[in-house]
Amino acid sequence: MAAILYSISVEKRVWLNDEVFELICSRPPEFQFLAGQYVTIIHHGEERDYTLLSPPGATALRFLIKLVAGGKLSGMLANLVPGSVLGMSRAKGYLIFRPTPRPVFFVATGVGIAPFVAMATGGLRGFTLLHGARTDSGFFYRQELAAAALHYIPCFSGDNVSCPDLPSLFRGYVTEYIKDHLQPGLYDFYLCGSVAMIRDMTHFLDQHSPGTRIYSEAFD
Amino acid sequence: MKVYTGGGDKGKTSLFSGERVPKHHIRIEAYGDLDELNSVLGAVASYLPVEEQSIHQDFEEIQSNLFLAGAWLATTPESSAISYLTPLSATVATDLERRIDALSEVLPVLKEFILPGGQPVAAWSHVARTVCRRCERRLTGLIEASNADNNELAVIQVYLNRLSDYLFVLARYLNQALGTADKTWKK
Repeated sequence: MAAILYSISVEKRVWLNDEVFELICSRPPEFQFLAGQYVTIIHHGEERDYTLLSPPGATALRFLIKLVAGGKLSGMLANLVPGSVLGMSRAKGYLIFRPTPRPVFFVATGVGIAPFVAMATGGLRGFTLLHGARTDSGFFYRQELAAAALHYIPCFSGDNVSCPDLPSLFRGYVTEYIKDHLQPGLYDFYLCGSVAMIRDMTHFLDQHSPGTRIYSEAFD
Repeated sequence: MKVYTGGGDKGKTSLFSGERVPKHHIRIEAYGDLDELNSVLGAVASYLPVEEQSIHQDFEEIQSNLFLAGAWLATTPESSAISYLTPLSATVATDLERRIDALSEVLPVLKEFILPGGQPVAAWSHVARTVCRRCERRLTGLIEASNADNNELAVIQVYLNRLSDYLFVLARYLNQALGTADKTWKK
């Protein structure tokens, strides 16, 4: 069990689609974090890591949460009422932005978009973002992200019948987009999403663009 | 978060500063040995007599310091990632010197070489000492190869040198505290 250092109270919950919601909680005044870091949320003996969606200067803490089938904690979080109190660890993790003169690529699938939302809403600009989703409603925060990014490329890997009508839409997985479009060179890549995506992307970049820096965080 | 990503399945890994390097890279060898040292220290700590509270406290500090040191070794000096690292306290080496002096006070003066061994906890402390010396050798190799004027690596170098001495004295102290005399080397 992670050490509970802070108590946070639920202020609001906003559903973004059938299975993903944003949980907005109070911020303890002494809690510090960097954009891209995560915390462990603890409630009734269950715990799970969630990346902070808010930028470091925010007054409230926002989390992007997927309701996992059979997931004990996400199920509880989906039903909390405002005022409910949760335990929270210190901020952890190293998927934090390192300033660089190289072209920067962020690659996210599903709720793996959270660290990049924190960075973008915190003022970071000039990056290319590949955002993978299987449904139209899975491109969370696309307007804010498209406004902040140099290039925002939604990659749709779902059923083509429901393919969204988005500017610069790519039909396929994020890894396919990179394999089709990336010129050999030196880049800084930040990956957040499934193990399969991170493994495939890492192996491809190692071979295709040796010398590229890779930072990654994987989750279920 | 997942412990594994599979990104290292083909023999490369990412430094803290993001560079992809082979797993036998000199920087990986250096912080890998530091990781080994920390693990051996964990083994020593598990054998420490409960009543040796000040030594338990030493170990908590040392193991935390080695984590910080490992992050420095995992970061190339020209990287902007340096700004996220925590420097070791300026007093880490002198703090150890004070502890070495305190432990040495109750020990007979050493006039001959001693054979590593004795009580299990002391024998493990000798193992830790030799791993620590290897860490030092890796570090000097890294400093030489990277040809970088890195003040933090210099601090870590001094710290490892002093830590080896601490572990030597600790082994002797523990043997004495547990009723086992030093076994001297006989030619």
